[in-house]
Amino acid sequence: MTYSLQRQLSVWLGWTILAFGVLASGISFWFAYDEAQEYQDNMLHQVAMALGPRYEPPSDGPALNTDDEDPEDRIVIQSLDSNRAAVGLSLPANLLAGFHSLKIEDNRWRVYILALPSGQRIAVSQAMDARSDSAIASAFSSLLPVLGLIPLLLLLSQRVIAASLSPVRRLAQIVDARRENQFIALPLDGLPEEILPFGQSINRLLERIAISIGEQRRFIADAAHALRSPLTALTLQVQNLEFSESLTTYRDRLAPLKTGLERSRQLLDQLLTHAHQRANTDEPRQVDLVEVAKTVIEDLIHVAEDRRIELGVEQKGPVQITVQRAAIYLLLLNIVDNALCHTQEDGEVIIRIHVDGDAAVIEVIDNGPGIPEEERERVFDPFYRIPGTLATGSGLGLAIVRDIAIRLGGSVGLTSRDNGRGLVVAYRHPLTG
Amino acid sequence: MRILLIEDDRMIGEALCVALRDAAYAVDWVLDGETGSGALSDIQYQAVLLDLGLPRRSGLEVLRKLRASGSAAPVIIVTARDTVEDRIQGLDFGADDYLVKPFDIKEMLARLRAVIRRQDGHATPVLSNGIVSLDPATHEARHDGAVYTLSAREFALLHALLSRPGSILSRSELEDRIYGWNEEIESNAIDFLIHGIRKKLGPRIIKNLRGVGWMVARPQ
Repeated sequence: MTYSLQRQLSVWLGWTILAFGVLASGISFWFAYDEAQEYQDNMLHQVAMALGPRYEPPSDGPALNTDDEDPEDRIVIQSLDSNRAAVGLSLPANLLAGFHSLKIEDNRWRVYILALPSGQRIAVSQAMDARSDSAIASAFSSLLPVLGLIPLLLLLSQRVIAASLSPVRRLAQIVDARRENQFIALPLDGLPEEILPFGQSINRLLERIAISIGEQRRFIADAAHALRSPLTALTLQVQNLEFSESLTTYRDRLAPLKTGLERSRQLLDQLLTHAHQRANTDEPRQVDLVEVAKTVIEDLIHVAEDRRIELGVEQKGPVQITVQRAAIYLLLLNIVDNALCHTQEDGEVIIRIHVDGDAAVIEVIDNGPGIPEEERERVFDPFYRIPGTLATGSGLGLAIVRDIAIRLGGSVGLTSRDNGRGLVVAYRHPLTG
Repeated sequence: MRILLIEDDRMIGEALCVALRDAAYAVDWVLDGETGSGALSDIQYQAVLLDLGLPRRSGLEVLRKLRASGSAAPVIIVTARDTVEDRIQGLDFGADDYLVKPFDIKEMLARLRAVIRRQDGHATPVLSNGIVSLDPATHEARHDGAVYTLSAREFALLHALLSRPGSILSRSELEDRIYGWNEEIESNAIDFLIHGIRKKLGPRIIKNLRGVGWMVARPQ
């Protein structure tokens, strides 16, 4: 559900202005009405003072009427003590001197009674309706500018909002115009303070995506490069097979081709493992590390036996951690596989599982050549191989290990076993709760 | 023709050795740059196949050292690095050709023949002294209008002699060009090969100079 800032602001502004307008009109109506009453009372008083002393009741017809055409100005003058009471309004006879509001024959009148020294009382009357009309008209005229203000303010708010949001619209255009491989930060100058954090968040996201895509590109390039070597070997081996002249040479040349295929398969397996474990979204559950180690040994025992390497576990009972089982299995499998690959024949590889403080620790200890201290960080880079290493690994094993370790929230480190010889690969997993 | 192969990938190295020996080359194979440099300073190779990403000493460093020592031996870089910059750098360091992995064996052999031919100062691929001619691509020899097919070793020996008609090559010089490090050489192997060639092409194709060596006649 989208909503418009502009519409919302317009509605609220409109209602507020209208409410204040009505309130202001009410107040001004009341003041105007009151003032009009006072003014007209003054007028009645002045008329009475001016005409009263000289008042002679007409011999026939009604009392003195001023201009009949405008009812507002219609004023009736009469004497209360006249014997001919039928003349003028039928006012009560006992009215005292001063102002009175009376209802006579369904009309409301304002009456001023002037007592003359002669004892005669003169009544000057004016219809109330006419007086009210004039007061209402004056009140309404004061409401008009307020009502006129509403559309004006709405228009203004629309303009202001449009102007404030134009940097956002501009930014959207810039983002739309971007190609999918452009990760330069968006220009945030001119962006309102309220929207700036949003722009900054987008820029931070762009930065993270750029790093991640860069890593993936590098990985793909490295992977393609790594595939070249087995592919070259396969090409050459097939052609050697093609050019073999006797069945014996043919058979001799078939063996390396099989090895070459096996090597390519292993590399592809590792590449897939690397790709899959990144997308792994299994739910973590309780896993016993000793049980995982057992599975790893079952899966790698044939490799160890082929090279007469002793493979075993050192443990003092189950160590439970909450983790994705497939991930921790892959982590251990790759560490042990790496150790088996680089340990000489008749060597040993031991998996040691224990709890150290608030961490579960898996150590894979071998008595192979070890890794020089200056290489211990680089060996985790994908496809990196220590110069002079002749073992034909994919160069991905330890990279996979570190990827998994980071994802599981643990850490992996290398140390030497003793006096620089032998390697200890340790994975530490924090125990929570 | 004796070739030095410097390649750290065992599988590629083994396959290349098989292919090169099939094509009658004597191959010495080393797995790292330092040993490669050592071999180059000891032996005169007809050509070098050089990988770039080598342990202990990079391929480019091996090449730089080789050229600094004044050697003009043809070098073909064989590598998985395929950017234009890599090729330019390799050629500028003194390589004669550049092959990107993976490649076809036949292409590699053709390029090898080409750099060796240029090295020997021949414009045409076929070697000849006017009497006998030899096609390195097919290993066929021609003499008096007839075509003869030679064995790999026979070809290698005749190629060595025809590369410099008129100059005498001693037994050990011929052995150097025909056999690699790990190959056992019978003491009369050269005589045996020359006997075979003379049987096919006629006795007067190769002259024997007692106590010195063998030669083919200079072009008239």
